[in-house]
Amino acid sequence: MTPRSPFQITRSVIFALLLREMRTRFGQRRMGAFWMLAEPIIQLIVITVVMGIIRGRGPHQGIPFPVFLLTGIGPFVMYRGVATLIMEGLSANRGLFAYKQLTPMDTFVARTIMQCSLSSISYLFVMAVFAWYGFDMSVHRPLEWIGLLLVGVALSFGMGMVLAVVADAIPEIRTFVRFFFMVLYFSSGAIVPVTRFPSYVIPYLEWNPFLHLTELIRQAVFPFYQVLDVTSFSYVAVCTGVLLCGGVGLFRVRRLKMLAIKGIV
Amino acid sequence: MFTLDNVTKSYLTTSGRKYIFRNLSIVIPPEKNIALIGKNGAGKSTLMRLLSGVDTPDSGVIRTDKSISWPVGQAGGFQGSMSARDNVKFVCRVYGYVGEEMRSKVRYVEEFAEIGTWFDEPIRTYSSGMRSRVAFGLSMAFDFDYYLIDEVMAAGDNTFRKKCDQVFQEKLGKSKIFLTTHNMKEVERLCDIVLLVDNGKLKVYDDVSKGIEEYRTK
Repeated sequence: MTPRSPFQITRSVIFALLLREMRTRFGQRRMGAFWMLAEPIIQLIVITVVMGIIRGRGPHQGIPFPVFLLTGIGPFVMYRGVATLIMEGLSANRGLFAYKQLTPMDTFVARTIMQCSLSSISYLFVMAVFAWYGFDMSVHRPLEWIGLLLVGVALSFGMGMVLAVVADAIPEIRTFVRFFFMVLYFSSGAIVPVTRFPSYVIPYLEWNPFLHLTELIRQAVFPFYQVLDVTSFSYVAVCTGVLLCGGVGLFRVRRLKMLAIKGIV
Repeated sequence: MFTLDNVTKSYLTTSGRKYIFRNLSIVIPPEKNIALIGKNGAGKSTLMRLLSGVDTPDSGVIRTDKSISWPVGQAGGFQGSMSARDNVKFVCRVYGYVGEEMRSKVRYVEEFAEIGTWFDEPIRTYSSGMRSRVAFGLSMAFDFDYYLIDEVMAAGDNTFRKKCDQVFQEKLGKSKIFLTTHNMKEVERLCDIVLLVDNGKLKVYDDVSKGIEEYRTK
């Protein structure tokens, strides 16, 4: 065995995990690769079209409703995917920790990369379909948009790590996590513009960092988009910092217990 | 050579914290085939996990400059929905073998396991014998300084067992083993020194027969 640097080891482990995660998903059904991409694409199209056209909503702030929805729903679905995949990452890969090169953090990173790639591909595909249909799909400030999307990934990564630690300590919590994300989803303005809610709930919705993020993302995409006046980037940044540090810290404290006994070898 | 410096390891169980080792310091001499013996629950497997780097001690340091395998023949890391080929590729990638090196290792395991076209079917469809054939072949495909063996890996039919023995003897020319077992004949046959685990203490016996005697009188 030739000695390798820590970076080389981490890189090869993450690459191996990535291929493995993909393979597991492909392998489970006929034409797995097709369905793996088709599922999120169909989901995005159906939600945006059903919500946007069939319910007969007119344009929102001059933006066609399906396009408006897509800019919010696409990122949110990715964030939810990242957080829940990280939460499940430990129990799904437990047998693998018999290979000492493999650390829990590697599985988290690999799952994040996989989810982001899948979501990006499906998002780009839906964008192309919309553009072909005739919507204006241009992004007003692309760099800011990509930067915000990445901040969101960091936010959901932190959230996923916190959830992973909590779900390990109290497994029953998994049931509530789904509802938790549903609440976040509806209050993020991704699927229903927050301005349609009664004004007295807005102060509560402000706590949701995804609401701020969605508003900022839309501001970066549409040239004349009027954000909610409570929107603040610093709140998103603080949430991201707290969740990332909290997640990594909690994990550090609990890591021996999370990996212990449950039959590694 | 392995150096254990003030190693403490405990597990938190439902009935409180259980200490397996407390402030254990020991030097295990190099270039020896090592047998790890002791009663059930004495901490053999824990020590093995610590030495192989799968588990980390609560405090203290374990040092070694040798490469150590995962437990030989363990099938726990296999993903049931993937084929044996993909599982083998995964382990190769984790250990940094890509391209031609990876392909030659895959070929080696395929030929060693002798399960024909089953090699490309999902592992969950295998019988336990087939699974252990792949697992053992996978361990033998890599060159380590030390092989960890938790109970002797007698699995499969007679011809396969003979083949395993033969490959294993070849390996012993270059590598050393770390054997955990209750079978004293194996210890006598394969090992040069004995580590007796008892009550959180670890004793090194350079004389194998003396170590075994000590274990029997316990």
